[in-house]
Amino acid sequence: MSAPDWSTIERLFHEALELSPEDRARFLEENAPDERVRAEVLALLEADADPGTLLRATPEEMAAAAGLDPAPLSGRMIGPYRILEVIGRGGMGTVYRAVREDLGNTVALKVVRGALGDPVRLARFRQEQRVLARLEHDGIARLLDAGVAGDETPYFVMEYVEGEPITAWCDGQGLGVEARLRLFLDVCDAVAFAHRNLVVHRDVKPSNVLVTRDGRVKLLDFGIAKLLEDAEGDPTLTATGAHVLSPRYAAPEQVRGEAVGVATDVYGLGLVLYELLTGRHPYPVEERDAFAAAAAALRAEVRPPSTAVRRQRAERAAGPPGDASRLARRLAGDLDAICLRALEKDPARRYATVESLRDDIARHLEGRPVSAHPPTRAYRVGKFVRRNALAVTAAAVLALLLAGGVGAVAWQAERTERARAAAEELSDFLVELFEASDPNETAGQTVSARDLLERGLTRADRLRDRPDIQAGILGAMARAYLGLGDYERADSLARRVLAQQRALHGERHADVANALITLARVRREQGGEAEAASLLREALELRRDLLGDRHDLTTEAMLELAAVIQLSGSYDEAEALTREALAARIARHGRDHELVAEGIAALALILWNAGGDLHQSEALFREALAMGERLWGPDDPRLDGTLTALSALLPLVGKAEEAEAVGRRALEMRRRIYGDDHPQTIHQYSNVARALDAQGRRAEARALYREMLRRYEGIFKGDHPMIATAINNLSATFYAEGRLDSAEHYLRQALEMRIRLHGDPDANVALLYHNLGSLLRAQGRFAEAEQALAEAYRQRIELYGADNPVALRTGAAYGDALAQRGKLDEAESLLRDILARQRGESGEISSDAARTMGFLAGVLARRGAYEEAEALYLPALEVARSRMPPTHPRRRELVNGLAELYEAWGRPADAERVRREAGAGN
Amino acid sequence: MPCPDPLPSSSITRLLSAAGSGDREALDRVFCLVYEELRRLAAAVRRDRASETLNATALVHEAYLKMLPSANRAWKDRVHFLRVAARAMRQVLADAAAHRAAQKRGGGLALLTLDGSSPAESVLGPDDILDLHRALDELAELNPRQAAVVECRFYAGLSLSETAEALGASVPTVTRDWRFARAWLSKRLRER
Repeated sequence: MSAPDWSTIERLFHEALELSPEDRARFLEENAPDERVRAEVLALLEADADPGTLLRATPEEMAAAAGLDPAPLSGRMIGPYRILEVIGRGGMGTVYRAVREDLGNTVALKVVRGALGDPVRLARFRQEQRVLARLEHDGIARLLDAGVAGDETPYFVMEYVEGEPITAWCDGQGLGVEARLRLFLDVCDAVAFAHRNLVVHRDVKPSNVLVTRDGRVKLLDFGIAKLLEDAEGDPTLTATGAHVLSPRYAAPEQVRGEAVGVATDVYGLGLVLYELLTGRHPYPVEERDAFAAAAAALRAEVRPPSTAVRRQRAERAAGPPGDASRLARRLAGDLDAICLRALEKDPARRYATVESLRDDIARHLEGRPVSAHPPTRAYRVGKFVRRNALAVTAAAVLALLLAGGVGAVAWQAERTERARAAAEELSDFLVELFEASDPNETAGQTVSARDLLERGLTRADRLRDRPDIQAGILGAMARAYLGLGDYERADSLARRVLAQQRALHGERHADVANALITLARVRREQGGEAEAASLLREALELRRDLLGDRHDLTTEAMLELAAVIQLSGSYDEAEALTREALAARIARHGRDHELVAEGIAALALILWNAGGDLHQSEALFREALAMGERLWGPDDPRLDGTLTALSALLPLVGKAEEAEAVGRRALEMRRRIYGDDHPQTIHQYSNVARALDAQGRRAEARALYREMLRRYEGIFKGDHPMIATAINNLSATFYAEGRLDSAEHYLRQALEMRIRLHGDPDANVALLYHNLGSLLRAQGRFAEAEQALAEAYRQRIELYGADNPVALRTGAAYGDALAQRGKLDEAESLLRDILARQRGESGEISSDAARTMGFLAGVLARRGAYEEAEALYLPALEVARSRMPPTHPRRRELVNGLAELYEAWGRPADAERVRREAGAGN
Repeated sequence: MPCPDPLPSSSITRLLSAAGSGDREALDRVFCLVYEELRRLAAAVRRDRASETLNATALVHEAYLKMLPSANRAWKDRVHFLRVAARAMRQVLADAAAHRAAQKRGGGLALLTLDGSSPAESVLGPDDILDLHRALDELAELNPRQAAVVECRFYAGLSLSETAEALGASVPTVTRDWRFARAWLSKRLRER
């Protein structure tokens, strides 16, 4: 960069800083001499807004990063040991290489943070230490000594092992599956030996299993976790508690704070084996995300190693070398079964002893049958819902939700100190909740998620003196209630959190935006779309301002807003928002990313709702689904939205059977995520029912709708939007079957409920009037149809304005009803007006416009204006052919209309041809 | 960087004023002395207070107290000293980081972690310190004053007015320099 550029850039940078963020781009547009300078200043402004971790580091963090630790440097004595250098560092303390002065041998010495006060604990600590010191085995790094330094700091002295973690060592040596398994047998032997001496390791993980240069296995830290607990007294609290919840390698029972035993080490060995065979951890959780890791340990299904390997990209960085699909075949069967058995969530279902795990590996190596059988699919799918205490699931779900809360609090905390304090508060909070889910404590009764939340609320109330943390927790609770489908509870909590965040931070703060979004989600589920939209607009504006237009949270708000406003027909804005969000996400993350998959699904939905090309939506949904399956596997709950939408769309493109399969898959998934009697689960019945309906299996469809109604009535008292929807859909099956009387009966019932619920004008009331009009039209009751459609049209114009696509759609139907009543003049002028609005300035023919053209052509045909009618039918049919399957009712409508036109026109051959062509397409 | 034996503080004061008036050689010598002192202090602090966190800024100030006994403390000296110390601290950190990074890469030793995660552990590593060190060198080529501002603020933890004093600039200038330099560095680091 030349000097004049520098000063110009600097000047523009400072001038732009004076402006509000939205004015900056324009300012630079006008004032920067060239593109390069402008780009440079923009980049600098961006960097100014978020200078990154390094440039915000505290003097302590700088020193630590550089390696200038508070650690004693060479020379300091601890007991008879002289410290040589730091060789490791962790949450509990620091590990040094040290030398025993009098004997001259090198050792590993661990200094534990915190002091050991009371003499009883000290005695227990020493006793345990003596037990461990007797543990002599080639595969176990011996505990040589333990003591308390002058300042009451406990320390351990272990045999110094020069080696590498087993996973890294195997990768470095390029070992194949067999060699890895044989090495693993040695690990099992060492652990089994300790178990025979009544010592449990409690923390088996790759970094504790070293391999020395000559290829021998050495386990580190045997029994250290236990020693620490004794030292600290209470295993569930603070430092050691954090250790017991040692995120990625904790067994479920450790996460729950339950008794730890042999099975815990079996689980740890399972983790090591899994990583040895696949090169990856069974749960794709970030290392530092303690809460997500805890939740995964409790809840996430372990993917069989063969599947995990198959999913990896071509260039696998770790694990046995060679072709992934060949490795997958090697792992499938025995090794899958052995890993899954060792990694069972329920300790009682794992191998009972390390020997039995060892035996299975040995049998496998010898080609003999293994004792672990692959669990049946039904067992795997249902095992959590059916057998395990529901509370465990609930706690895990809650942990996930709270992890969001921790993030928010940590984000808001400017200093790491505060973030840490907040994280600790939340971790205590979680521990308490997990305790509640311990079946022992609750005398075998299942604790429901709701009980758990009640407990959480009481506990949160006690945090009055830490309003920031309290708001974070209450926000998480609001989301949890929303997740459970208790919208009233969620609503009052979300409002409370919003008020609290505003009181804490004023209007313009990221946490206020988060609170707005939570409340908007709740309102949306309650049917309060208008309020949801305005809350989301506020949140989006805040996030654009505070985080920039391309931040993930900003694009999240865009998609939420788009989803809500498309319900009321603001398609253009919704589509623009969705496309903006998707583009930003691709720019930020590349094409292969979960947020991009979500964006693509959102785009598919808006295009569909806006009456666009159904095949395009279908293709987009499939793209999103495939990406999601690739990224997360086929059973991941995050696929839910896309599966649900696809199951609803497929019947419309003539793929009813596939729709049923997809719909059932989505239903199964929702059952698993939400349980049977959750609105989200029940809601999905309707997509399956619609798929059945589309296959002509009306009775089955109706049975599902009735089931749906029954379940809704079980959870909602009296009138409810979802009940109204179910009744409406039930009516639709009768309609599709031609049982119009029954259809009308239910439709009117739904309409009345909607009117009671929402009054007039209302989007849903208008929709049902529209449906009623269509039904009456189909019955040939045109006078009543005209009335109902007039009502729907009036309300929709009032709600959305005359140019709104939804209003125009109804207007077209109304126009056709007028035509059927013989009011041709009125019909023609209305339809012409509507068509002009639908085609707009571009003149493009949407699916809706094509339909209107058909209606108008029908009117013109009756008036004998055949040529003009034909000129409308032909392009309309072209559009329908390109976007709808031959069976689509609207396409058929047009085909019949055109054929009838030719017949009236005296061109029976053409009529014949049109019908034949349509038939051939079938 | 071989340094001469520690000088009596009066000589340091003399060297500092010489350095302040542009004597290159004097500046080098002071730098060298302060650098050595900071390293010694860092080691000593680590020996004496195992449980405390080591703080780069605190070290600079401690070096100042140690090297310039109160009798010789003039405001101007302090300012000059801190300016030099900031640069020395930057060098101390960079050297420590280079050593640490080399150790890490050299492998051989098993990293015995007690626990995979610790909220207390910094997410920054030695490479970050080295990256910043190099980026700051680049900045010094382009705009030496801005680089100096960063050294004072970031490595010695000087306040804006102390920095202004140390560099003989006004507070608004230093404020602007700091903001721009920080953005520039942050951008530069991201480009790596």
